[in-house]
Amino acid sequence: MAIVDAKQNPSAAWIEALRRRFPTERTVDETLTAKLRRRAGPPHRSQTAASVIGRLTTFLRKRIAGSFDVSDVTSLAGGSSKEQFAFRLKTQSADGRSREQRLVLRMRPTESIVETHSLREFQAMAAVKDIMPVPAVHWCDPDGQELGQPAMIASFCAGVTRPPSQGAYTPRQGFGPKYRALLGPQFVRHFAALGAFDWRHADLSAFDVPPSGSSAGVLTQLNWWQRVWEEDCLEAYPLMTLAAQWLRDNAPPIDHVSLVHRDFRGGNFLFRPEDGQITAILDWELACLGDRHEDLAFFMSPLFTEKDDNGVELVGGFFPREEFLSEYARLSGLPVDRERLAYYNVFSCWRGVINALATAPRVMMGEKTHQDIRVGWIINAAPLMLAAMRTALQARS
Amino acid sequence: MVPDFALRIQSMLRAMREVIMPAIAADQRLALDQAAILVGNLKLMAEQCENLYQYELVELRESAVLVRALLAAVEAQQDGVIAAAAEVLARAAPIAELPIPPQASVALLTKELKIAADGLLQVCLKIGSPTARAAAGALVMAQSQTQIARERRWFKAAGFELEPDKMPPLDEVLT
Repeated sequence: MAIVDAKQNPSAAWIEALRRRFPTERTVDETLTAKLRRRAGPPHRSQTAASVIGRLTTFLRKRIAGSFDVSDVTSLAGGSSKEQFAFRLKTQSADGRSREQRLVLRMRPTESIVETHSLREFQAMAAVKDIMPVPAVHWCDPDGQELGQPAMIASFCAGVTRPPSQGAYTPRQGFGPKYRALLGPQFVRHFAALGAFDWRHADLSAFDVPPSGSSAGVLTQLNWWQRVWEEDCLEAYPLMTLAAQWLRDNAPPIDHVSLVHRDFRGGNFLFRPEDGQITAILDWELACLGDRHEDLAFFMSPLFTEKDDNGVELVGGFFPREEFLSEYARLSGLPVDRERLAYYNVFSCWRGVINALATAPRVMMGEKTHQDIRVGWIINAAPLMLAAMRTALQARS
Repeated sequence: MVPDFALRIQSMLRAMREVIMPAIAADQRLALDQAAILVGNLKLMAEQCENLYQYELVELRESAVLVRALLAAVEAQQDGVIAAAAEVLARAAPIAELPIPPQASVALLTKELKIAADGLLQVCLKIGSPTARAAAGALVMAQSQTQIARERRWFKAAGFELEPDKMPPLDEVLT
């Protein structure tokens, strides 16, 4: 069944016009441009376990001294953007000491619901390893020359993302009172630590640093996402155009440049079900240097809001709104500016709609991931985000 | 409508073909048999989905013609049956006469109208006076309210809404 439109076979001139119209970060431009140049190519085909073992062996032979063995390759479920395989690595050093590790190969499919640069994720995870639990990162193949797809290799972390549940995916984790009490305090502590993290001594060479006290960095991020909308959308949506213009007209200066995760929420961390200990914060692929209010606003999106047994709305499924904000401010030592928060509420919804309503169907159209059906399910969330964006816009106009 | 049914079915077929069916053990004959039938159904629906309404309309017209002809041919005095047939024919006739275009051409025209509206908004935002910009913005905000309400209700069953029970019936947002 062939379902195509003109964007499915983009011309070089169109790609260059988009690059000129929406200047953004170096590695973002590189990634988005490469995506468009691949677009007319074939559908995504997952590598077989044998292929993964073969490529990993060749890749690791250049990086591991001594003998080693790759085995037990299994595909991992969960996540909508990256293709993941767990595997076992047994190594033996020259002095005969042996070691066994469970690792994860995290690869970008041919096109992803979020098209990102592997090195950015790798560097972001390495940067925060001392302030919160993240899988240890070991190697990166940013252009996929050796592993077949851009990829990174990290430690496997045990844990679950949510209590056992049935039914199709929703972004609400349904932690319930027990896990809310166990996870909530840890979660907000990590959240605050990220906002306050001094990233200046970390290797973040794949990121462009926005100037503090200026809105230039915000416009760079707007260009990123508006470019993605133009590249991917199947239909025009005037409200999205109106929102983009509003975001440009009202971009606030960044008061404090933070490392921003952009998807910091339940579902993107692992915890031990037996004691509720958070074992790893995941999915750093969207990270950028920017305004912490973006993370706060995204976390408080209605998409992740749940109600407790008394009908009280809990942002992110964890906390009453004001309780969360005051705890974040207390722990991070950074103020929560309501004007900026309102701005990033619009921004986060707008960005979420771009992923769900433009990129998700575009990826499905070309059969570009291993997860077309899951990516397609996320489209169902777009109306809720659009409603939140519209309400936020109306409140500001 | 994004995504349309054809695109959804395409992704379902792909999941069946590339992930689910290969994962079914060869000795699980019942599961394999039903999976193959499921794929068959999806292929059938993929072909049918864009012509569903046209199919109903063709059937309605054809049945109306038959009822009209039979009414003329019936000689017996079965008043109840004749009256019931005449009544349903009277309800069907106006619909049978409607020149309803194919679904695909409606979808294409809608897409073109959305592009036109977006283009006009962009021009307004770029070179319009403050008054024109404000007016265009207000129009888009007003229209998007009904569009979003319709879309939210359309996707309600996906389970993303916090208060799905408070949403209006589907037919209410499709008028």
